[in-house]
Amino acid sequence: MEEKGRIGIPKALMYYRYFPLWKVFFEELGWRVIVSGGLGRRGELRYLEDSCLPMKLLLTHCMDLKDRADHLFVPRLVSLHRSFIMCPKFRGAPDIVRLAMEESVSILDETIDLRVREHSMLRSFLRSGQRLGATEKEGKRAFQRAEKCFVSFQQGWEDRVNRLPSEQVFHLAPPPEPTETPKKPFRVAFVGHPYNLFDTDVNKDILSFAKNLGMRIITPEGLSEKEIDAQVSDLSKEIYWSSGREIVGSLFYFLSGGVDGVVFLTSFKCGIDALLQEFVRRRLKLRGGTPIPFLILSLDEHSGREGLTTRLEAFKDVLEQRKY
Amino acid sequence: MGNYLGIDVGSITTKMVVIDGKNEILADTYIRNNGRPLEAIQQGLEIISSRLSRGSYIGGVATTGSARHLAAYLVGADVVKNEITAHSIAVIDQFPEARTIFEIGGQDSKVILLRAGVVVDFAMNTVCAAGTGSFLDQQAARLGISIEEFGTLSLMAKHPVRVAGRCTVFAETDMIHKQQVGHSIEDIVGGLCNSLVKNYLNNVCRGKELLPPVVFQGGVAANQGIRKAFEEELETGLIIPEHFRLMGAVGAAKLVKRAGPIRTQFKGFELSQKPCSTRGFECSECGNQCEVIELLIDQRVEACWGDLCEKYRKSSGPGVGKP
Repeated sequence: MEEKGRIGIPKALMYYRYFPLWKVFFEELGWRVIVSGGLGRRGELRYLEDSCLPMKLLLTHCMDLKDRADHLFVPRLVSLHRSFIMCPKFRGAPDIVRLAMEESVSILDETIDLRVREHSMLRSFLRSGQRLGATEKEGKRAFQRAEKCFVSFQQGWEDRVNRLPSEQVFHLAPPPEPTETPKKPFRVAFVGHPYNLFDTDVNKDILSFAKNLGMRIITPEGLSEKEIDAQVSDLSKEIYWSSGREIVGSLFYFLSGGVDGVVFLTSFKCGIDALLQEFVRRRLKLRGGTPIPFLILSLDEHSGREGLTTRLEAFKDVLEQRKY
Repeated sequence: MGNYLGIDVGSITTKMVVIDGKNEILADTYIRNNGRPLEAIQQGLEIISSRLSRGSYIGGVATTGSARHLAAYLVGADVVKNEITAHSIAVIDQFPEARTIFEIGGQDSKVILLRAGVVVDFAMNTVCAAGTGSFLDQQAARLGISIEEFGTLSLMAKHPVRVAGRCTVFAETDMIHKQQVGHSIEDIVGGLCNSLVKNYLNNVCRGKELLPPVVFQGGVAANQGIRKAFEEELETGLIIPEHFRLMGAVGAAKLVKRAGPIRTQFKGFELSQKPCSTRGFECSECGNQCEVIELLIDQRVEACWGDLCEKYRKSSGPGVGKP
């Protein structure tokens, strides 16, 4: 099939969860998918307002793509859960991008709002497909194929995170076979927004550092909604952000056992994270602490990773002292 | 039986300690970096070697502090350890019953929780440096008093004023305001101590269960005003170790003693006489654009770091990829 054009996908925000789905969908419709590069060590952030780092990165990545792509894919993510919503910044993301691009590039910004049938994942993608000239039938077939690929992508998740270098985690190729099994690694759960966990420009590739320290990384990606719900059902107040709910639910899931330690990666400027931290601290206090070592790491725009590595090293020493 | 050298290179000061097999301190030094850690380390080595008796053998070296890697490359360290672990090791040996450690240094402040002689939790200040030594330094300089006077002065406060302690920038504005409306210097300094302590307890220690006995160490522990403010706020006495400024270095020395290296990597005290410098360049081989740093001792490249791919690290001289 001849190539219809290029869809640019910025490597930011929910790229770090849904990229395989997005990529396969557009490729199935005959478009070539291109992805923005990394920020690199010397990368310069491009932004309009002093937002959180992940949002600034979205604009930076879009700028990188705008002259190379026919369309940018920046969906309007209102809700990724049947009853809870995303941070308002996600809702405005396509508008912020449009403003920054000065209308120089077409933006595919169909709404995804899983609370409403009209905006289900499938329907949103069908509309994107329509804008690209695909019939409903073609769109449906592409989406089914994409979903199938996404499911198989998710299946090898833990191996993928632990065996691949960070920049390859979201490539579609299957993870490599284990080279050698290191002496019993510490199982450490890393919890946070997907982009905090996997964007190396946000977290200075803290996961690779953790792996080098002999940690096996466990992430909330594998948890079912049921497991998360069980942890947050008794809250005095419902957390209405889906990401916040997921984070708190998985934190307490891991803090109740099964891992050697739990690390919560937060964004310095993130309003949701600021509230969640306080919330988690209070809940832990009520419960009289946690038997599992717990570390909160705050990610900001500091260029050095010293602050992060020092804390993680010390955390590993804590885990070691506990074990022996 | 050898002696062990612990080196703690912090953001403002460099601390060194030599202990013998019985954990007795044979020599120590505490010097300001003045922004030049390499020179400070060399100077420290010179002082230490002059204070040690002739023929004292160094059986191992450990480095800690925010410049621990730099120091390790320079002196040849057997153990490189983060400062949280180093500080807690020093305390656990000396005060096995301690349950909380406050450590406030030049730019970092931390709290470490111990239970039954084991570290169970810790926290460090994040983006904010309020309440650390460098801010006190800066304010003392602004008021034209020495940092040593600072503590005594604050003890003389009759009615400590309220100072915004959240942020150093606000604190300074607030202090200037108080001074301009006529509050005495003692009351302002006293107020600053109180607000820094509150800031530390609310930020660094947020959500932590602070149980006595509490050990207070780091350079700021010298400040009587801060000590008093802590004691009032927590309603408990503080243990100030004899070598409160050197605890990181002591911990490092104990760590390397424990590790018991068979042959130390230490390059010797002669290092203080050799010209040492660093130079940096930006590698342009890939998109990472790493800032690579080379360490030169006697005009020879002794070590390289900063390269993500470790290409330079491996190609620069024998035995340097160690720490």
